[in-house]
Amino acid sequence: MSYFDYSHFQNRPEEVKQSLTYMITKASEAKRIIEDLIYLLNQEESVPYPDMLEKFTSVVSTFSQLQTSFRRSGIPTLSQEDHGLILRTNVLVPQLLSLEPNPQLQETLENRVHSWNHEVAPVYLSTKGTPEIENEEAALEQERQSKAHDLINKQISAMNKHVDALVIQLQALEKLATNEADAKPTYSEEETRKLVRAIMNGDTISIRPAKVQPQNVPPGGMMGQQPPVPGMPPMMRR
Amino acid sequence: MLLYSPTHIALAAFKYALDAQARAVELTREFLQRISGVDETHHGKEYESHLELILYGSLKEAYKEQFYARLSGLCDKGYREFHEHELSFSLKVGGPMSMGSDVTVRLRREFHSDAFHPTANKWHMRYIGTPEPIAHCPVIVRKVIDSVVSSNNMMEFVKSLGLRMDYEYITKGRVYTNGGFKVIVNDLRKTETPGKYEQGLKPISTAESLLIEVATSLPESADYDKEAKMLRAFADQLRPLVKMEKIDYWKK
Repeated sequence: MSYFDYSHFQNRPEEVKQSLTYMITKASEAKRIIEDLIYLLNQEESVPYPDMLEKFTSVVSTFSQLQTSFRRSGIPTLSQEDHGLILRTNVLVPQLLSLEPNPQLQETLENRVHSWNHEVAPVYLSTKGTPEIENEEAALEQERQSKAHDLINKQISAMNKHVDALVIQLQALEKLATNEADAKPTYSEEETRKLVRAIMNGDTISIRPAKVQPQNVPPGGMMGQQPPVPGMPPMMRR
Repeated sequence: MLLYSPTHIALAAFKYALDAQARAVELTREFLQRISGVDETHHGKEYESHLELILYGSLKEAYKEQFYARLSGLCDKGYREFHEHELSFSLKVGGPMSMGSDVTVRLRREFHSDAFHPTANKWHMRYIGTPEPIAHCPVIVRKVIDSVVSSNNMMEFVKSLGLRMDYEYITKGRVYTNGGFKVIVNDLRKTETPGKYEQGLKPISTAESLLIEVATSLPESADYDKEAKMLRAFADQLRPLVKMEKIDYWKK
C-alpha cells in the first residue's frame, strides 16, 4: 500500500508511519482469520474442530498484540511506553474532501468507502463513542456510585458463596458418576481374552479334532467328526 | 457501513472450496489405504506387507450405544458398517516331530446369502505373523501381508494348495477411523455346522460382549515406538467404557 508523503505537515512523520503500518498489518491479519472462521463455521457438521479452535487462539493473540502495541503507540521500536501519547497528540487534518468516487481509495479500502466526502469524514474522524455504548457505560457508572460501599461488599461475598456451592455440587456429581461406573462394569477382561483366542487361535470354534498337546482344551462341539474338506459353502456351488 | 466486503469473502470461499476438493480426494485415498492396509496407488503390486499395531478390548452389548456416541465424538465423522465372513486355513508343515509351525492364512469376504452379489467373489487374503515378543511395547506388533483377490472357486483353489479350514466366523459391526487409527466394533458369531449360514448364528461370546479392536498400520521395518505410544494414548481415551489390552493370544 502506498501513501502520500505527509512529512512536511507532520511533527514526527517516521514514527507515525511505522505506527500506521504496524496497526494496519495486525488489523488485516485479524480480519483474514475472522473471514476464515466464518467460512469454517458455514461448514457446520464437517467443520474440522482442531483447526477452528486454533484459529480462535490466533485471532485472540493478534488482537491482544494490537492492544498491547498501543502502550507504545504502535511503534515496535519505541524505547519507552508512552501509553499512546504520540498517537493521541497526532492531529488528523483532512486535506481534501471530494464528492467524486476515488478509484484508488475504493481499491485500498475494498469498496467500503467510495469517496472521501462530507458525509463520510465526520463519521470516521469522530472521537466520541457510539450512543448505545455510551449510555450503557453511563448507566453502569451511575449504578456503581449510587450503591453504598458495604452493600457492594455484601454482594461480592454472596456471589463468592454461590460459586463455591456450585463447585462443590459439580464435584459431588462427578464422584457419583465415577462410583456408578465402578459398580456397573461395561466390559469383562476374561471375555476379551476368550474372544481374541477364539478368532485368532480358533479356541471354541475350531472344527479340528483335539491336538496331541494335553494342555489344549478340546474345541467344543465338533469332536470326533471328520472335518469336511474345506467346506464349500452351499451358496458357492454352481 | 459495511464491516467486510462481500467480494473478498466470496474469493476466500472459492479458494477454500477448491482446496477442499483436492483435500477430499487425498483423504478418501488415505482413508481406504488405512482401512485396508492396501495401497491402492500401487496397481502393479499384488500384495502389501506391513506392520500392524493392535489392541483388543471387549464391551457388553448393553453399552453399545454409549460407546458409539463416544466414538462419534472422538473419531472422524461417520462410520462404515460391515458384515463379513472370515475363514482361517492352515497348511500343515513338516513331519510328526514339528510342533505346530503351520502356516495360517485367513480369507475374508463380505457376507451375502445371495451367491450372485457382485462382491461375493472378492476375497481379502491375509497372513498374520506371530506378534513380536517385546515386553516394553504397550501394543501388539505383528507383521501382516494383505492381498485382495477375485475368484469364482476360491474353495477349490485353496484346497488344491493344501490349505485346510480350521475355523470360521461371521462378524458384523462398524469401523470408525481417527487419522491413521481404526476402531472396529465386532459382533462375532459362529456357525453350528461349517458351511451353513442360513439359520440363526450363535454368538461366540458367552457374556453378550462385542470385541473391540484398535489398530494402525505401518510400513515394514519402520520404527514403531512412537506410533505404539500414540496408539496406546488413543486407546486409553476409550476408558472407562472399554479397557484396551495387549492380549497374549499366542501363548499356550
